[in-house]
Amino acid sequence: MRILLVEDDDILSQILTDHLTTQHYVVDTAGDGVTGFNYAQAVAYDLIVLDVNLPQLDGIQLCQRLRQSRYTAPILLLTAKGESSDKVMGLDAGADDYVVKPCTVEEISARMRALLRRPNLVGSPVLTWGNLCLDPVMCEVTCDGQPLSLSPKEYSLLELFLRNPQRTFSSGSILEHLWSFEDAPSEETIRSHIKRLRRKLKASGNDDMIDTVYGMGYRLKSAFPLSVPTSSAQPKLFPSATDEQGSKFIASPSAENEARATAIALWQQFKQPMLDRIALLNRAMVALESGNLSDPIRQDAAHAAHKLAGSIAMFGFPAATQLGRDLEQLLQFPDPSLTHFKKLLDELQDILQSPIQETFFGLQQPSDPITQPYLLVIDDDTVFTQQLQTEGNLGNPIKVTSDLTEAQLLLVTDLPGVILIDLAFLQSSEDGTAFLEELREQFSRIPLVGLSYPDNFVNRLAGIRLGCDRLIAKSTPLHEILAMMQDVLNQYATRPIKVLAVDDDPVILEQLNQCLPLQGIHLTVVNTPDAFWYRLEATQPDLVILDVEMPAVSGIELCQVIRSDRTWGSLPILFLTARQEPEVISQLYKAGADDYVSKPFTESEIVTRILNRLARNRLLQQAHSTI
Amino acid sequence: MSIPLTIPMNIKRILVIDDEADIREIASMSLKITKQWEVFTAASGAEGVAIAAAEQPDAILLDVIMPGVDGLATLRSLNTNSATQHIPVLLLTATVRAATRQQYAELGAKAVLLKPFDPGSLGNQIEEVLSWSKA
Repeated sequence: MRILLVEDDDILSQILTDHLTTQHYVVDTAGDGVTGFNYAQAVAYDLIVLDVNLPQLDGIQLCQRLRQSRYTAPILLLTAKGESSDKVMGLDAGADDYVVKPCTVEEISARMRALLRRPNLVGSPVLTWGNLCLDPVMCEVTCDGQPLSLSPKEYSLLELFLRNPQRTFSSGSILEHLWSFEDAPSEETIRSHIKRLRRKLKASGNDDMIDTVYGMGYRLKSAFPLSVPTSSAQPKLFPSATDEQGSKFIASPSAENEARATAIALWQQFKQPMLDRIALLNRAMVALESGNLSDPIRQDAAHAAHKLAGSIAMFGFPAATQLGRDLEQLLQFPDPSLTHFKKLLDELQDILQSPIQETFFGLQQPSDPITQPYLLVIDDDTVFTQQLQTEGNLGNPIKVTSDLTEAQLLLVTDLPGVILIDLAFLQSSEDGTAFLEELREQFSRIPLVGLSYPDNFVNRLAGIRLGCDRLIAKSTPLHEILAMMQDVLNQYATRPIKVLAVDDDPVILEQLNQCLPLQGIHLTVVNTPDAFWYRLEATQPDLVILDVEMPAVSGIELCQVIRSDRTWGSLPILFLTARQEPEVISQLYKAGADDYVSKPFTESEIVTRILNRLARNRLLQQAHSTI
Repeated sequence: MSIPLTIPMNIKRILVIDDEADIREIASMSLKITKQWEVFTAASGAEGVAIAAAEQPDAILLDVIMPGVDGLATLRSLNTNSATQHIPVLLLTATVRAATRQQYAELGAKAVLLKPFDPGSLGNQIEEVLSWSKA
């Protein structure tokens, strides 16, 4: 249990901290009200102990402010005056209880235990699980009456789980509850503590007491597991991630993450039904406010809360689950507390308006480092390049070199967003041709702009033959050259190209996997058409590769489905086919194919086709947007 | 990314019965993407019993709280129907208490899976609960 003690009396603060630490509480201390408030905002404490007389912000004001910020943990006030007005003001400000000083530390800790017990609504101070008992007063754990020896951290972990039997704790939230700022360990250490605790519990006959919830954390298993009457082997109700069992088909971590990401992507589709449930809760709150909360309205709201609790986390709002459960629980009573109801509902609505938390269930979105692409200028004309550097107000950095070896090095170490090259300089350089060949071969995705001088058709044709994507006369005003660079940078923004490939042949998929990532293309593969649509939504590809012949659904049918969709209708589609008959090829184009590649294919062939198709598509989009 | 070079030999067929479209969609998507299983869905208990009898899925995921014929009534119906009584049923629920857990066991449910579930590992949970991974 993690406690915040806000007390300006250093001696009392120290005595109380020492005592609470021996009781296995983790204690953070703050010497004034403002620091206390900041701590409480930063960490989820299980309980806050507040002195009334504090500098800057007194205990009653702090309590008010905490409650205004929807802080729900119990608050215990310490008051030296013993005046009833202080007690009344404190309780009205949202404190749950008070202790009048002078008092013993034992009294304070007994009041704290009483407050910490409250959510359980159970009178017994002893926490039990099956034949296991944890006595917070004696700091003792017994199993069938026999003492179980636990380290302080193992004890605290067990207490945390027993006090919150329905809750799943991530490593982060365990860390928040059981460690202070100064000695926060790594998540690995938490796993080690859990492992040791499990080992000791197992030795005492309480095997599998703590469950690992995939991607979420740990939680206490129910003490009364479901028995299976007929099966010879007892299945696990909540399988543990630590169990190592063979599986015929093991989903790759990327498939698991993709399923999680897809669930989050489905939020837009299911947002409205969720908001409808919130509306039912709001209706109940309005009815409660006006004193007209009928049973049907309350039951509808409880049902809505139940449904929200069961699904909302999967869309990326993990914190909303517990609020949904709390609301459901609250609405079981015919006359629920309006304040509590309002607080929970406000919090729930706030969460739904906050950004989606994509880290739920261990999902980690690959993040592309945000770097500003730079313009690489290759020219020995120092007057021009200096002018470009000093006067150029391109938003992106500019690097200049007249040395082709240095240019090669830059390409390897720090990929530019666009290259501007003086064709006359290149043609006069000894290694010019070799440099360009390498550039086209290895860095074909980097747009190349040629400076033509003198600007005539012959030089422009030479530029095209050298592989330039764009050409511009060197005599063009500087600001126009820079505008063109900016344009090219925007157009060829070097975000990774995403390709989704569907083929029932694993060899083909492996071949694609061998070559496309090397060209900076992110590849997602699907080996049955069945999962295709989900992956399409989840990956948002720039291009789709389809096999023609697949069981159940053919590539042609998939292509037709894509073309008939409003969102995906214009997605570039490339077919892979071993069939060369004109009627098959004609069918592909008829279904909406953009291009096809014959099997077997070479790496350069497939990469070139993908890049060409995307470039063509960009031009088409550009043309479309300028109409 | 790594590609599963082995196509699963034994593609499971799962029926998801839940009145909530979002749960049906996520469960279905999750099992298709992570396990490549075939998934049927039903929005009510009555529809679920009919699909179960017709399609003979390898397992049924059944929501407990549904309007009309609720999950437990559906479970009773599945258990008394000779065409469906052999199909293992896993209950899906957002809240479960010790007492109700016992009731579910008595009704013949193989396990209780808590909602929200992890879309990345729902298939693994089903495999382990039904010992398919050992098969």
